[in-house]
Amino acid sequence: MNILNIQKKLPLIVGLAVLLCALPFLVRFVAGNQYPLLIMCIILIYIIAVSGLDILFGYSGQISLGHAAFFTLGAYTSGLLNIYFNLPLYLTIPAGTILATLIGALLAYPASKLKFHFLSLATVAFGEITYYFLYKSPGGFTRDFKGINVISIGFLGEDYLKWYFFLLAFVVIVLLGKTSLIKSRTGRAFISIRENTHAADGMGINVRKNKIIAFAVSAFLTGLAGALYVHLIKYISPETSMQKQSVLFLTMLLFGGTASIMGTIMGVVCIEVLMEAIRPLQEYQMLFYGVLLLIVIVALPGGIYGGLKNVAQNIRKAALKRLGRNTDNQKKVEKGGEA
Amino acid sequence: MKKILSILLVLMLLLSITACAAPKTEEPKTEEPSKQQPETKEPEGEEEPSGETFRISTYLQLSGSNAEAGNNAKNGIDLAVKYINENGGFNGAQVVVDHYDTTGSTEEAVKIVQKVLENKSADAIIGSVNSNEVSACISYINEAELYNFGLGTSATWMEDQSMIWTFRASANNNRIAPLDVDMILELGYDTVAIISGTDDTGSSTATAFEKACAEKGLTVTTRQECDTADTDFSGQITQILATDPDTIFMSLIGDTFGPFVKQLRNMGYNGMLACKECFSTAYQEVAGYENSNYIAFVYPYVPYNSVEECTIPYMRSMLEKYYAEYGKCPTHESAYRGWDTMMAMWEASKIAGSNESDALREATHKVKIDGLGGTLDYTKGDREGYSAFNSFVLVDGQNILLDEWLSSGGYEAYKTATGRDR
Amino acid sequence: MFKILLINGLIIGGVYGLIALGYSLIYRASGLMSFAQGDMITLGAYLGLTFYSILRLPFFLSFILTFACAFIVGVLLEKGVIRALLNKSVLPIYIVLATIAISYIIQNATQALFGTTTLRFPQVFSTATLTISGITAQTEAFACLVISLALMFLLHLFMTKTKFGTAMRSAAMDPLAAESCGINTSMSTGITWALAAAIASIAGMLLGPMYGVYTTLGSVVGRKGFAGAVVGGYGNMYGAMVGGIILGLVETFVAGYWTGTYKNLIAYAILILFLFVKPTGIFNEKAIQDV
Repeated sequence: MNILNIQKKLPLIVGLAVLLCALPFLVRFVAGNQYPLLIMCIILIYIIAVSGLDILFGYSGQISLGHAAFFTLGAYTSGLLNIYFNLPLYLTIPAGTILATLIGALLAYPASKLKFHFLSLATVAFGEITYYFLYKSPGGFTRDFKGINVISIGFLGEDYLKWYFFLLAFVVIVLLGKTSLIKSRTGRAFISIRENTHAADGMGINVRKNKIIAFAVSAFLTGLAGALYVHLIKYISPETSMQKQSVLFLTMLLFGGTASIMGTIMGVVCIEVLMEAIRPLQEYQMLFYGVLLLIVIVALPGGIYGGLKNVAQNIRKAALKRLGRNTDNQKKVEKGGEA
Repeated sequence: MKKILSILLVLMLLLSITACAAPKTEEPKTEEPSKQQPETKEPEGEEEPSGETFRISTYLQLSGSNAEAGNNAKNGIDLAVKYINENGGFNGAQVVVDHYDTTGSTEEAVKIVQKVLENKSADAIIGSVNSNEVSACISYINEAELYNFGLGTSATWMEDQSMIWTFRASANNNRIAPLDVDMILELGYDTVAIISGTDDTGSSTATAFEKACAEKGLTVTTRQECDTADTDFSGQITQILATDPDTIFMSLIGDTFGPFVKQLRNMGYNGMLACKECFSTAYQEVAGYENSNYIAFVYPYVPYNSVEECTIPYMRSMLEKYYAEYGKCPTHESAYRGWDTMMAMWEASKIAGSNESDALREATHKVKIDGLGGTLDYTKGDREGYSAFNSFVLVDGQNILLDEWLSSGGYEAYKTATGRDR
Repeated sequence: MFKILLINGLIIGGVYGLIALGYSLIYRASGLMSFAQGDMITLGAYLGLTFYSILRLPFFLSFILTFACAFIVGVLLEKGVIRALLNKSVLPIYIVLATIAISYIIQNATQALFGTTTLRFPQVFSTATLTISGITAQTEAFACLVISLALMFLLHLFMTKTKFGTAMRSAAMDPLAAESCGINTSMSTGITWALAAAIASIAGMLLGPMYGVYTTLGSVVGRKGFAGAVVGGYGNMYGAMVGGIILGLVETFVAGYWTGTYKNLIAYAILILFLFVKPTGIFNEKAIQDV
């Protein structure tokens, strides 16, 4: 990232910043109410969560089908501190994030030994255990099935415009952090573990340690997303930690495309908007979602970002080819005319 | 292949974005003014313009493991809305219902309610049959000061007296629980075992029941719990049967009733059962009709296998309409809850003479109509419709009033049929 | 009391074992993991219901038809989804996710077709309950235990003693080497998934009369079945059965002597405990290794 490079990209960055800042005002003006803004806020939060999953799965090649549990743990810690001690946002959010990170690291310690499929089983079990624990906690301190209705404290309140910029700042920081992490020594270690665990080991990379780091960073981001989410929605319930939400995160990641910033963003935006759009289908929405999920997986394993890249390349190739072929054809025609 | 597919997907997404944006943005803003051109009409109110609509949003569990109750409630509401619209609507306004599926997730319910509130796309909200979901959503609706009815039977969400925008036209289990104890004592039993679900209604009702037992001198031998999605209860049943109770009080949720009763009967208990609600035909179907004998309960109404079975004129007229519309009788009593809710709202709109939430809320406190399970009386000011309940017992597929059953020698027949002394 | 709990634990353990058998079979013969196995149970139950209760065919015939239909569904699933993904040589997670998508589809398609009402599966045997040494339980429940034990033996024999079974195992171990030895790996994985689906359909036909037929019938037991498979040793037929029975017994005894509140949590706790402490399971199945 040298200065020259940044200078080259400067117009793009400024343009993007202006667009991102103008977007909420535009949306609010067009829609006439706050609801689309709320969806945009949820999208921003999910971008953080899915970025976390991307570090674990996209870069270090470990699978988790229980990431919603970290999300829920972050949210519950943040929410419980809010309702019991009336702590402000800037204390509850870090607390939730830290707890999720710790639990992530603790889980990773034994889990990093496990192979792909069995890691997914362990994470599924982790998600379910979290669910049952929150649903029926000792002494009912998590308010069990009732979930937590968080009281809004602090400067954000229910103004989703403020929320949007607050979350946008988080997303920018997270994505910048993610980029620099990936470019760092640790990030390269992650990628080498993903590509070939044995080779990475042979090259002197501490595989176990790096796997645990990947897990912890991943849990950190997803927990942060959860801690933010609970204050935005002002409600969290145990069933968020179940497999369905984890699959949703994974779907967003795979739909967009793994190991890329743009893929994550596109995946989250597409799936969240889609989930909103299919709500009028009522009881058929999950059927639609399932069919779509299957089609995407079978036909587009590279994700939509990868697919679009391919399309762009293909179009370029085709255009070039056609140009070439046209001249060929012209020659042929000319030849035919001659004959 | 890949190329076409990704283009298709992008197209579909664009479509869905517009589709999602269209109702979201236009519905609240343009629909009302465009349908009734002069925008000033609403404040005038008195004219009752025929083109006006009254929009109700519902959040119900329509898919997933306990969706039967939600779907019956949906049917009940739709049926009542059809009837109301045929008979003048809400002060001349046609009622339009938007149903949303919570898929059994409390969080999804909250999101739906937030969506409806932010969009201002509803004039009233009807809540879920699952009390978990109502508990979670009720504060948002009250904050937005929107007219609201809950469909669950748990006491929890009506306990908070500040939730003045929410009413209920179904039973309150905490009022029923002491009556359940009375009924069990009337049958001459001294001991009872409790099986409770871990959900809102299941656990809160079991707790209220336990408390009433302590007050009225009924011994609780054991209280067992089971998860809402479980199907195998042999461990809990073994523990219950080991304490040899005179009867067993079931405070479960939807899908667990049928398998529980079936396993209980298979494991050799043939005595009287007490149930926190009426034993719906959907439960009987799974438990087996031969196993659904001798289930006593206190409730406003009972399920019917056929229209002919019903002798109460008002209930029968509703069942006839339901049968004509859906080709079957309600399989779950939540259909009654949906109907009663709509009827109470309709009456409130008549009294209020206006469809504003505030006026409707005020007027509901004056509502006193015949419900499917007796009088729906809101004049007591506690926002609850039903306060009087009857004791029934389910014998050979028939729900008989307990007093009638006792006086006609049913209890003696029960003793000889089961070989039990109590 | 002990005897009652023992019998009931064995019965529910038989159900878990039957599901775990499916998982182990798929893993043994194709090295893959399916999250749709539980929903195949649901599918089997609805298929059985359609033939037996709606079309009123004799039980034996509807049993065969259900088995056949599930087998075909399994083949289609493998050919249409799993094989397509394997040919693209994607990461295994795509296959896991594809099976999750299939489970969503089965759950919601059955709901769209049959509604949300729990349907009654008519009794299969003429006597509703059976009493063995003073313990009464539903006849289907005993049948479930017997059938799952029988299937365990058959599958184990099939996998180890027949030529085809050996071919299937070798296809799972090293597809390339197997191909070069003239083994049709595509067909062997196809048959594997089909067999697994057919086993699940048997489970569905037996669970239906016990719990009624509804759209999430198999999903909870399906997920718990993983615990059974891991406890026994993932990929081992005897292990699947033993693990399933252990899970059933532990669950029932905890619910019977202590509390039923955390019954479902126990299955997942056992699963995670075994994965962390002894991932090779009781039968020391050496399938699970990593750095």
